Order: sequence, then structure tokens, then C-alpha cells
Amino acid sequence: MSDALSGGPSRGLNRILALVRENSFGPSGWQTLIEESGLPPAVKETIFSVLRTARLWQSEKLSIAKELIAHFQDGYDRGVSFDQLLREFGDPALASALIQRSKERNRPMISKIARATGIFVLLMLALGLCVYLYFLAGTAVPQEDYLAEINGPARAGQEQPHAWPVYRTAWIDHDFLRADTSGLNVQSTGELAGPEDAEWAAAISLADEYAGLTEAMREGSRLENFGLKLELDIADYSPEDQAALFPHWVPPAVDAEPVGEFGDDLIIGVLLPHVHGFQSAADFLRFDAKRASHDGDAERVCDNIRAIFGIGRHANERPIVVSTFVAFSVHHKGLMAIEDVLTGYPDLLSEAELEELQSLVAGYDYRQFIKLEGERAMVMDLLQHTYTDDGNGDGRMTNEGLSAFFSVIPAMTVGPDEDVLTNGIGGFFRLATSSRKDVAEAYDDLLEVFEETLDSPIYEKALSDDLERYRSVIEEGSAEDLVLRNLAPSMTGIRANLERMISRQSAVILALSLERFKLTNGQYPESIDQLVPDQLALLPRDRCIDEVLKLKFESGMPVIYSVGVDGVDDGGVPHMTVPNKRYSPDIRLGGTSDWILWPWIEMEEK
Amino acid sequence: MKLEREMMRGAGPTAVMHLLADDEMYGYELVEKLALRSKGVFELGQSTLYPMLYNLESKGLVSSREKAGPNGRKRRYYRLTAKGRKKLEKDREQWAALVKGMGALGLTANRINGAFGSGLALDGGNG
Repeated sequence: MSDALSGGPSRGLNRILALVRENSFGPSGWQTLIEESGLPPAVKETIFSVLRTARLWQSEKLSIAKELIAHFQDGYDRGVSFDQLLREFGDPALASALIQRSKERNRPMISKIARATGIFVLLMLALGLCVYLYFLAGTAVPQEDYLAEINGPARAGQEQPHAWPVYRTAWIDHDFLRADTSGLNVQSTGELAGPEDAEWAAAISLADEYAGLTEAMREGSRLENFGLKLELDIADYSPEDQAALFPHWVPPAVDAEPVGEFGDDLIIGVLLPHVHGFQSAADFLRFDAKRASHDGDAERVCDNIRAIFGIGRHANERPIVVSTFVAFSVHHKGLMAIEDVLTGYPDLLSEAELEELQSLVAGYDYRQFIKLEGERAMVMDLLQHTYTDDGNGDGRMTNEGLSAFFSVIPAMTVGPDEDVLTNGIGGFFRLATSSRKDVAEAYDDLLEVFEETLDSPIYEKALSDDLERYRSVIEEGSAEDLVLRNLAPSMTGIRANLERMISRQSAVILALSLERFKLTNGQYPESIDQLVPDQLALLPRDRCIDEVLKLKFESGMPVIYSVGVDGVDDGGVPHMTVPNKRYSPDIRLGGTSDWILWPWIEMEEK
Repeated sequence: MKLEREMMRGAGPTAVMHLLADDEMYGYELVEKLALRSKGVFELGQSTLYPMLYNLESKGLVSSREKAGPNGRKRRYYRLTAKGRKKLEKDREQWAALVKGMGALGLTANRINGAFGSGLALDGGNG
């Protein structure tokens, strides 16, 4: 046993430190020792050849050199010639290998551990380098113009005049994107001001400021297509479009670094600068309709309502879910405008006007409003920027792709309740090894599930069912689930919005038909069935149960409601969470109350 | 008669330990005495001896130290450790059993004994 291990820990430690010093600083001198040994050149060369190739510490070589030198000297002293000694020595190469092996066995345990650790670290570094080069060698070459897909509808019917130039001029003239429509509302409730409110005069004053814009919106809304072409970079918009949509934009410096891995190249980052303008325009139009009702101008009332629906149609021109949500919001303002006049000025509109509005509202298929092509285009565009392309729709993740995913989608690494190690690092690994084709196919599968669930009313397929099916599609994937989880549209949110829109539409159609019946017969019907066939072709269905919507009368006025997601008819009683504040339950929350659809009661705030 | 490599691999370390049991020796001294006392059977080249010694040292069977010899030259001297003595004792028993077994098989026991009798009497008996 070597001295190092025989004398306890402190002696061993001292020996280790000595070894480190001997082998770290300066030459060991074993070569010098051999040179100065006085032995013949052939003997020296033999000793050199043994030690030269042996992978030993300098101190070990020095020790062996001394021993071998002494051996030859002792032999010579005993009268054996150097030639004889060399013959008896044996194979130097074999000696080198055997000496090395046996010396390595004799090293302290800590050096063996250090050596093993060093080898492991080197292997990991080599592996990491290979992985890095693997990604570095891959380059994404985007080829598809997915923005053109999204802009497709904007170019449809290009021979026809489009609404955007009409809107644009008005928006520029009025610096419209800075317009604050809160001045149209009652401060305490946030609801649109009426003649009975203190804010009425100020609201009128504000509306008059934007009268020219309101007229331009009415004019533009009559045109079939909107026609704004979206760009990824603000600088690519025409000067007129920039003036209308980005009036206070300052071009960045010429040498400014692009934001994010891909700058403005990804359509997932495309802005929809016009949507806020649509919302504000609908507010002004609704107020003007209310004002026209007060003025007894039925024609202007209907004109404004038609304009709101036209703007909503324009908002939905892009096949993007956000655009659809804006369209729903704008159309809901149109439905509120109808409610304003029917509840505030029930005798204003004629039978023909009521019928026309009923046809207008019934003419929209809100299920068809929802188009997922834009979402798909965004994800496919992201994939083509982050994966290589093997020419067959497949490819591997690139270095830039990994950076992009973790910068574009901050939640990609780990969610709030997730374990960093298994989901963050594991997620990174799964994404890094994912196949472009697998991700694309998984996303298409998910959208297919989406489309199917959107076709069914709640009584056929509960929202909770959607969620389970959605989750099962995501969780079936392995490498793809990170993409799906973070980039897939919100199924519950879309479905809830759609159900709300369809239900509200049905209620307004029913309300209009009730007013028509009353106009014709002098009173509301005793039974809802009396509306068929003169005022209604079919009675509107409750989306939560497979029955006709419920109708009751309060103070002689109709109340239309759905029994809600629990399927229990509570008699049209709304949810009461705050004293003196009535709410309809948010169907996403799975509330237990009825859902009051006419007159409209705001959804419960989450 | 030189031993074949495989036989040397098994017998060599035992022979070395046997020599070191009585006194510490340095490398060339070991080579000389091994060859002499085994009547040339254990003629180890340095390329074999030193690796063998280092192996025995790594197993804790021998230990070494550097000291100056009578002529003032520094050499590395090897000696058997306590663990080595125990191992040597076991090896002796193994070899005695082997010799006895070979003799029982008809391999000339007297000739074997004669070869070892005056030198490395590993069986500890009638050499």
C-alpha cells in the first residue's frame, strides 16, 4: 500500500497536496534525470520510451525513472553488461502499458473520482457541443406568405370600392384613435347616457364633435368589404394608413436592433390597429341612435343600427379569433341599440322597420363568424420560422427557433403550478427534439376538435366536455403539447362568446317579433306560440336545454331568458352577488342562475 | 526452464511475495534472487517485475520506500505488509494443494519437489 493511504486522513491529504504541487508547477525533471544518469544512450532511450508514452503524472514518471535508472546501474555494478540488461528488460511498450495500468490502480481514490468526473464532464461538454452544432447547423427558410392568407379577404372584390378609405379619411380628420367615448356614458354606471341623465348634454356635445366621423362610418358601413391590408411592420403601411392607424408613431432609428428573435417577421405579432376604432365608432353610432330616438327620427335610428352591424361585419373580415370577438362586441352594441329604442321608445318604429331590423339581426350566422384559418396561419408561420424544412413538410427545431419560442411565448417554459424541472427543462428538451410535422399535425387535430365542438349547442355538449376533449388532444402529444398549450385558441372563451352571441341574437329576434305582434294586435301575445308564423318562422331555442326560450312579463314588459347551464328554470331570476346589482351568470363559470337575455343584464364579472 | 506467461501470471506474484517475506529488497536484487533461487524458472524481465511490484503495492500487499543503499545510491525498497503476509500464507496453502493434486494425478511429484526443494519451498515441507 502506498504511503499516502497508510497514515490516516491528514497524511493522505498532505500527500494529495504534494502530488498536486508536483504535477502542477514546473517540469518534473524525469527527462533531465535520465539524461544525467550517465547510462549509455541505448539504455536511456529504453527508459525514455517506457515513460514517454505512459499517461502518468510527472511525479510518477520521476519515481519510475529513478527506479529504472537504479536498476540498470545495479545490474552493471554486478557485472552484467548493458546489452544483457537491455535484453533482459523486455518490451518497452508492454512495460509502459503495464506500468501505467498498475500505477493508475495505485492512485488515491480521490484522484480516480476526479478523473472519472473529468471524463464525465468532457463527455457532457462534447454532447452539448454536438447538440449545439446540431441546432446551429439547421436554418429555417420561410417560404409561405401566411400574411397574404390573412389579408386574402381584404383583396377580395378589389374592383368594388372598399370601406377603409372612407373610414380612414374620417379617422385622420378626427384623430379618432385617441377618442374617448366614456363621455357618452353615465359616470356612476358606465351605461350609455339617456335624456334623463345629467351627462346627456355633455354626451351630445361630444357626439357633435364627432358627427362627421359618425356620418363617415355610416357611409362606409354600407360597402361590402372593409379592405384594409394588414402589415407586419408599421413602416410598410402607406403614409395615409399610418396617419389613421398610428398617428403618433415615430419610426425607429435606422440601426435599431429588431425586437425579439425575428423582429417583425412573425404574423403572430401582427397588430389589428383598427379594432379599437370600430368599438368607438359603434359607441358613437349607438348614442346617435338613442339621440335619434329621442328626436323621433326612426329613419336615423335604423340607419345607425344598420351601420353598427356593417362595421361589425367589417371587423370580422380577418379570419382571426380576436377580430371575431371584436365583431361580436360591435354587434352586441347593435343589439343594445335595438333594445334602447324598443324599451325607451316602444312606439317609434313602424312594423316595416321592426321587420327590417328583425331580418337584419337574423341574417347573421355567428357560428360562421368564427374562422380559425388565421390562428392556423400564425402557428404555421411560426413553425416555418423556427424549424428547418426537409421539403416534405417536416424539419427539426433550429437554434433561433428555441430562442424565439421562449421569448415570444413567456409561458412556454413553465406554468404557475408546474414543476420547473419536469416541465421547464423537460419541456425545453421536448420542444428541442420535436418534429415540425408532428407539431403541425397535432395543431390541425386540435383545430378539428374545435370546429366540431363549436357546432353543438350547450345542451348537446357541455363546456366541460369541450375542456376534457381539448385536454386529451393536447396531452396525447408529447413534444407538441408545449406548442398546443400555449398557442391554441381558448376553446372555452370562444365557445362562451359564441353561445352568448347566439342566445342574445335569438332573444332580440324574439323581442322584435313581440313588438311587431303588439303593433298589429294592440297587445303582447299570451303565448309565445302565437308569434308563429306571422312574426316568426320558428321559435328561438334555448341553447342550454332543447326547448324554446322562456318568456315572462314584468310590469307589462317582456323578459326573455334562458334557464342557464344548470338546465333549471328559476323563473327568470338573475344572479345576485352584489346588492342592487343584477348579473347574468358567466356561462364559463357554470353558474346556477337563469340567463336574462332581454332586457340585457351584464354578465357577472369574474 | 522459463515459465509460460499464463503460469507466470499466477505464480510470479507469489514468488515475489515469498522473497519479500524475509527481508526488504530493491528491484534488481529481487530479479537476481528470483532467478537464482528458482534455478532460472522465475527469470523476470524488468518490464514484468516492476509492473508486478506496482500491482502488489496497489493491492496493499507490499509497501515501498526510498532509501540509500550501501553504495549511497538511492533505491526503492519493497517489503511485505501484514496483509501481504496473510495473502502469502493463503497462496502457500493453495500451492501445496496444487502440488499434492498434481502428484495424485501422476504428474511426477518427486520431480516437482526436487525442482523447488532447495529454493522456494512453497509447500514448506520436504524440499
